[in-house]
Amino acid sequence: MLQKVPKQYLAQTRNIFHCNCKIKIPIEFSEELLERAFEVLEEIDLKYNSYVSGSYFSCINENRGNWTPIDQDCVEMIRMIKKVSLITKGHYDITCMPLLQLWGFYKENNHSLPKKDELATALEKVNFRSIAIEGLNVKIGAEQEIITGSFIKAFAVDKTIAFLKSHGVADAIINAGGSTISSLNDASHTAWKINIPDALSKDVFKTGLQINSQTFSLSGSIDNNLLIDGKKYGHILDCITGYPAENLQTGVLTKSAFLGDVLSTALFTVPATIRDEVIAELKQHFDFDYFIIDNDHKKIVTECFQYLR
Amino acid sequence: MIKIKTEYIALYVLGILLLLFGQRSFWESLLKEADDKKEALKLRKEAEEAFSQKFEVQKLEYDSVKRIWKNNALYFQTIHTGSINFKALKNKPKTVVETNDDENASESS
Repeated sequence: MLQKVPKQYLAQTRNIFHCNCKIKIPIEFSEELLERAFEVLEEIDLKYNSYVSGSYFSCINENRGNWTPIDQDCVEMIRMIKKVSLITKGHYDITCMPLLQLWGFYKENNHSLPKKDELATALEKVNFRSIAIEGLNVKIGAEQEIITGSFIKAFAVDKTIAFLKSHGVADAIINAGGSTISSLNDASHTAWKINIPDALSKDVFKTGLQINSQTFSLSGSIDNNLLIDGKKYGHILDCITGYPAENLQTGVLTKSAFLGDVLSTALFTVPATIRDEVIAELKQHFDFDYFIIDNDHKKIVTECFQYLR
Repeated sequence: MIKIKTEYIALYVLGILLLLFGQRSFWESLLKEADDKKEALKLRKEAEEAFSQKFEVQKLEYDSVKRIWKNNALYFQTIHTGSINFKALKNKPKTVVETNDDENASESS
């Protein structure tokens, strides 16, 4: 019996957005196109990443309390994020930098549990409602700071996918750090298979997810957490309580990588008590599939994630 | 004839000396002025030396095949590269050939 020869792709991996980003395009395309696709990712990093000095979000933070000129893409990102934050009743909030600093996610050592009064002071600075937009200008509170970690990489992936499409690529995959995987598919290759790591053991993978010109976004805290007095505290914070969100893993399937990453992080922050209500409202505005594994190991899944049960 | 006592003369001389050298700032400004003059003289001498040296001459050769002038001597030239994203160019990784195998998701970023 004749075996089908697997399709071949040019693949390259680079460290961008503090993670390994891999782009794969069919072998008939040039290496130069691959290089240019990486340049798109790099440009978004320089232009929008809050950690890059001179970027739009870095300028907004430096100019806190005052209006900062931004571009249309920035405005659209902030509008969408504010909408999701509102639906999650503020549990997801991109102004959470004071909380992250208090917990010490950017310190090498000397980690300790924040005191209640310190948490209260930090929480006063966290409020997405204080982000004001007027035309192509934005202003945050005088003590606020935006962190782009939950969405900027995915925004760059969307732009890169659009770039590849505009150059005739119809079958490709971008794996940005494993937490944002976006694909293009055509009749020659109808789906890419994605393996999802177990919520408690990152070396064990579950097979079964296939994406077709979609994005799979994953949020969890197994790899990124603080160890304080023998207990692990995840890096995704619930911006109402100020404590790490009480979920193990969330995954979202969307058409847009940006929406996928925002929803994945947002769902992770939402507590079980309001989960159904928040998801129902999100579903009214956005088209997505999802799964949530909470701290009690309870799995809430939509149709395409049934195999995870 | 006017007689002046020796002790008065000694006191007068002492007074003059104290007036001139008793002020530390006066003494220091005197020394600084001398140093500045010395430094200015040194710089002038260096400038004169540099100015008197001949310019370096580099010989250009004509490549009649390529029809261009060539300079075989080592020289530096300012080139305007435009807006190149150098960050994207550094540590350029290798492109490899892969198949449409599975991709692993991760929570790590």
